[in-house]
Amino acid sequence: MNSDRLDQLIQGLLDGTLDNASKEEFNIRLMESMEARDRYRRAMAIHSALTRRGTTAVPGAENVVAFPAKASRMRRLATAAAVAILGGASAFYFHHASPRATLATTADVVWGGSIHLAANESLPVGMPLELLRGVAELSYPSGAQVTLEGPCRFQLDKPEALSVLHGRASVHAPPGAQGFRVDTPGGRFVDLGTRFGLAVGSDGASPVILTEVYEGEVRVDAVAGKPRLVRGDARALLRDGGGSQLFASLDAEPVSVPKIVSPSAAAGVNLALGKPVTSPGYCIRPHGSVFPPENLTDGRTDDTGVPGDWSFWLAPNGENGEFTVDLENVQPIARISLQNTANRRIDDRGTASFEAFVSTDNVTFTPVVAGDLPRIDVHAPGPFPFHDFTFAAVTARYVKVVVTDHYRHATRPASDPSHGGGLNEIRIFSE
Amino acid sequence: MVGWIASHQAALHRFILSLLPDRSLADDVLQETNLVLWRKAAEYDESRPFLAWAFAIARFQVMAARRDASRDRHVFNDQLVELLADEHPTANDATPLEEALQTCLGRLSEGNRALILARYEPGTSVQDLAKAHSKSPNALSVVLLRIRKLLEECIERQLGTSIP
Repeated sequence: MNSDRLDQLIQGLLDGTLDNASKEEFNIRLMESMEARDRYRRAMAIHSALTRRGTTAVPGAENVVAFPAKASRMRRLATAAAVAILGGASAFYFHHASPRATLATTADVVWGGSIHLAANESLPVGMPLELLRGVAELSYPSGAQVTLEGPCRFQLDKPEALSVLHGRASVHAPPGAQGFRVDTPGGRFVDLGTRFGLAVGSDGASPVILTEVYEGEVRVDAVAGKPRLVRGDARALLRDGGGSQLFASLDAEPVSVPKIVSPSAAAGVNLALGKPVTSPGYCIRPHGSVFPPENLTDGRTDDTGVPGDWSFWLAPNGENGEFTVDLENVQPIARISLQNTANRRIDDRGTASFEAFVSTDNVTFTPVVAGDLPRIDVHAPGPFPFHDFTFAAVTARYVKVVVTDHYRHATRPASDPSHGGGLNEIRIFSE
Repeated sequence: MVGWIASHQAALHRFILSLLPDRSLADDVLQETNLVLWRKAAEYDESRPFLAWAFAIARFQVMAARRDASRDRHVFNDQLVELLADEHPTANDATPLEEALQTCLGRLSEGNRALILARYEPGTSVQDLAKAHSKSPNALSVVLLRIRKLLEECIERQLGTSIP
């Protein structure tokens, strides 16, 4: 075989100079000989590496750090180890000519894997990234801005696009940035010059995507006919038979995607953050409407989250409910701080009053404090309030909260089963 | 799963690009493949090699992209694409190659390095580059061929083995 000729054909392919006769010759040569195909694969290996080098940072072993053990117990995030690696800083000739998105601002962010992204840094293209906690704002060359709320898995694929695999995002495409695309496991959304929010989740098997348009217009390419949504429209995108469809309600409740607000920091060290929580039961409904008690200590507030991964706990239908936080060590505690829920602004659930108990062995509990919680005002802007309850310091490992009365929907009939206790977050402090 | 997908991006890109040697189509297919891998994460059987599973999904996406793209963008016939896919090694060895490439780029002469990097800037065509260097595309292709050969030899020395 004439290997020089094969090299020429490969080069012609890479550099786009093959004519039709050469294409045919190339096909025949590759079909005929495994050696030729090996030669082709070697050339493509380097071609691929050079191509990727233009768009992504090259990983370097020195940037690999162990994934923090703490995160390994965080629900569904255990597989997040070693996500993306930003390297290449050591290579002086490393250059990025094409403009791309940068990280504009961050608030209390924790990145998955070994990512170390600072404000104003360019984001790597084509690499899955994971924001475990906090809020990050991305800024695109066109002027488009995207706010992401952890936990969120996402990827930048093209200069003016974003893939959100899981989590919440809100997009603002000002004039000049129309056409900004967001891909999700449920399909594509195109911003036609607007502000809109997305919550990308799952019912365990299929993607469930919620969207709400705050301003302007969005085109939903994920659905046949590419329907458009305008200001005030809020829809759930669900798999339905062969295709996807938009629904105005999810499990009989209206869809809403609240705007992302920066997390309100706890004053003092929150002993409960990330700690295990158990409850005798919790609310489970279709389409990823599940509200397990671990949500109480996940650091996420304000009735946020995505289908399958909400930020709050709800008792089963019609029950007040209770839960127990395991601080994993016996330690002094003197204050609990509670944030109520309104069940995603549906306003049919929430805690009206409670009693709190402590224990060192999870068997014998002693009452420490009881109190009332006001209803969440679903129309008030800004974060939901936390309410502090202090008591004489005790040493304990377990904190049990028993809901003694709960809120119901203001206008629904008494026979409506959708009511019960619930809470967004509990924080526990030593003083 | 995010770790699995991230650590196999180089191998997936190489696989897709060798079946679909069109940079922008290959990028789209990789993006689509990543989404499908996410979506099907629950179906992944961890006792199976990840890349064999991921390649099967990528291969399906390549075939779908070939159906959607106009025929004049195809270089290879279906039979050859199937053969290339069947034979493609499923070892995840693309990352060491990318590291070796970094070293080897540093060992090129400044002129050669600038030229090959300019060639791979997103959005650059050989035609544009040839015009900028007052060369014919074919003449430039010959120079690029020589640089790629230098890189290939250097990378094989770095890896201590031939590129699989």
